[in-house]
Amino acid sequence: MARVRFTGELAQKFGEGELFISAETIGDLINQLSQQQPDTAAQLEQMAIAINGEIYQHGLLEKLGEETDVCFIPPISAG
Amino acid sequence: MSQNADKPQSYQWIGSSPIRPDGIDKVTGRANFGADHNLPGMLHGKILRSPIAHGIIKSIDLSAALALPGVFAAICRDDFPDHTTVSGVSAGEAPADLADIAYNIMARDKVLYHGHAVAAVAASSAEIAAAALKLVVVEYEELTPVLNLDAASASDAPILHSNQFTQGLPEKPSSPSNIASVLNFKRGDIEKGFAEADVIIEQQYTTPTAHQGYIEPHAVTASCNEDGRANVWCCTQGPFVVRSLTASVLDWDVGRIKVTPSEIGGGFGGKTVVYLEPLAVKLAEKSSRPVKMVMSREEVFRATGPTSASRSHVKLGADKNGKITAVEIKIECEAGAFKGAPVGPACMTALACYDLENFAISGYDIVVNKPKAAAYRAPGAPLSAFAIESAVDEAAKKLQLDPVDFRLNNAAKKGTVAPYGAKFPVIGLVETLEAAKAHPHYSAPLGPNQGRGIASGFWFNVGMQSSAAININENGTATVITANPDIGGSRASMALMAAEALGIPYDKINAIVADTESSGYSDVTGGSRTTFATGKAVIQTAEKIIDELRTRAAALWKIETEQVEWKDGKAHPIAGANVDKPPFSLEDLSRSAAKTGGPISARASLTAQGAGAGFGTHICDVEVDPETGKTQIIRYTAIQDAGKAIHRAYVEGQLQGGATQGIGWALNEEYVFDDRGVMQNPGFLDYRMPVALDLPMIDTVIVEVPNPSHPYGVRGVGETPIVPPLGAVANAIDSATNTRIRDLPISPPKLLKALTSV
Repeated sequence: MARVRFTGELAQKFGEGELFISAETIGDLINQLSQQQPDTAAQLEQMAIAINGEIYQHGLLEKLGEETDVCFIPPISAG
Repeated sequence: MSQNADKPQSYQWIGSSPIRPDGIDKVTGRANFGADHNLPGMLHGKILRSPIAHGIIKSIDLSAALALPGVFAAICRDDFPDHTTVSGVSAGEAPADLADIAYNIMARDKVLYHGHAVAAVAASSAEIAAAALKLVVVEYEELTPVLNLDAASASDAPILHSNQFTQGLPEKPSSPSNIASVLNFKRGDIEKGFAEADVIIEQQYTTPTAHQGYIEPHAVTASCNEDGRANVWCCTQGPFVVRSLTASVLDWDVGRIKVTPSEIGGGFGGKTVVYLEPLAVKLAEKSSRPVKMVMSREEVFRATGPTSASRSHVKLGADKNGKITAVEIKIECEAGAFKGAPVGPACMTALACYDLENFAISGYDIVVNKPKAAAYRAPGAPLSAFAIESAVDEAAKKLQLDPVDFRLNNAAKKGTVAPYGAKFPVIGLVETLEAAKAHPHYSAPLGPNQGRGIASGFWFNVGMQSSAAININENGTATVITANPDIGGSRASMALMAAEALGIPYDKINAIVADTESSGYSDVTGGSRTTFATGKAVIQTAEKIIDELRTRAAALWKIETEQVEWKDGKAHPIAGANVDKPPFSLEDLSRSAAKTGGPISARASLTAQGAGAGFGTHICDVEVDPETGKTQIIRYTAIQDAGKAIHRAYVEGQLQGGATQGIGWALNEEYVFDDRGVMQNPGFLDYRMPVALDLPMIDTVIVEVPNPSHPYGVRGVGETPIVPPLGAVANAIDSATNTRIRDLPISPPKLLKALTSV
């Protein structure tokens, strides 16, 4: 099961602790979370995701393993 | 100077500093920048800008301007589709609000800052265009401008956007607000942490609005053909983003627009957005003539995006053992006229250098009647780093601890969960701090009125989408094609990585920047991503070329591809392949290409993942003149983990450039507005950026903790070096004068006043 954390506004919706979710890919994970909290669907799609500490701006197809650490973070712009 | 933190790896080309491919054109003046593109029959476009900072546009009359001989087109809000609904559009790095982008480049029902575009004309000469602007009649109803954080947040504040409700609150508010959004990050128990502290620093720190200060103003030439297609030549960090945003603003299909990037005279994030391009295309369409538009320096200051002014309230607790027990920081940022201050990254980076159990970070994105903020090198990070690195220094001083030791004692490292939630993979902060402590600069003696400060900084670095192609020419040379404008050495870096991968000399490779119809999609050159991400695409492409070359050699030798290895730029039969022939060079195989399958070329496109985080530590020595308050930087050392420096001199240049911009921000740079919201210093004479005479040679130390997600270990380097200088300079001035300034810039009058009031 992936260990999933949220920050900011999403933490208000899903809680500040960790969720343990079984999902094959990031896309599957977002689908499950969107079903749990339909009003977060658009926001989840726009978030960047840290997978085991590495930031993915786009990563719907990234695989999740049993011990994968996932954190939804605000998208990062830069100069 | 270079330090390898990992096992050194031997490269033939990586890490060298060959001649830059654009160097001769630039030093001889032959390079073509945005304003250098001309077409037959071309018109000159100019923009009428708002004379007030806040007001309702009651009417616009273009008829007199259009009647002026030599005027071919005039446009205003009526010529653009309304994007009234808030919608996400790809801006290359993060979703942007199309309604805001469109409104920012041409005012609609209101003007929201002094200099906001209200109308534009195209005429046969720049002089006629300027005369025509004077004939445009605009009737305004002036409103009270909102010019700072307190005014914007007041309960009776004039509201800039009646449809803006604060995002990020537990409940949707019932009334609109100038506070666009609120962010929160927290962990642990800060009250418990503060209770465990022996020292608590609680202070407020502010930074001013500052501009990227790129030397080349925005410039574009656009033409529209009879078939409805447009060509756009412009200076930009991202031609595909210009294409996307221009098409979106005009409600066109992106396939109608081709964008060709020029050489670029600096961007630093300020050229990741559009200001002129949709207007030039619209004027070209209406006039059926090409239209050139070039901003003046004054327009660049008044109407393009600087970075936000900020105010940070910090409470930091530490115990006598030098452990930070808790931090609370509230960061408020001026977004300018539309939401989108870099408050998110300001919050996320604020405490990233530290391994903390207890913290609470809050951020506020607040609109005011000033130009809309744009990205500026590590957007947001310098704002919060100034606050935190100052507070950390104040705590170390109170605890009588060495500031490097204090930072080492609390430093983030592999496995630390960053404040924004991600667990750091291998990172090099500790290595930069240890390099600082070991550097002769750190222990060099200081003279009277001199002081030394240090500060650390962090930037995420990003990957995103990139494409590359390589064409092998008939003589064995190669052309490397990407669509990332070369701001800080991308052509040289791409050529070096291609040379390393192919095993051929650097000077056999020509790296070029292509237009949007000659290359696969690439996101902007920005986010310190290009050498990492586009570099990965180049390496993948080179690997495809090598596979093809092995296949051709195998066919000639009548053996299997697996029996051919590519080594030192040549195809060799492996041992046991039973081929008694000399190896084929790239030149041999390219000369015979027509007979072995045709031209040799390949391409690759990818979304690059795993950009390694960038950390740096800077040491700054200052001397303060107690009679004038003038601060002179007398020695400066920038230390940064680059993962692996591809073109060493360019990496050193990035560190020196970032440090210089940060020093300018710390000491002199600021927008000065009057009480009507009119900028009083829109030129380089009064907006004081550092020049060569102001600074010593900035020493650099490149630490190399390889990024495992890149074939050569690359981490982005462009952003991080602007993060530490603001704190390093303030800490050095405190060291020299025992006077802590928490409000930037630390200009001579401000410092003199503080010194004389002690």
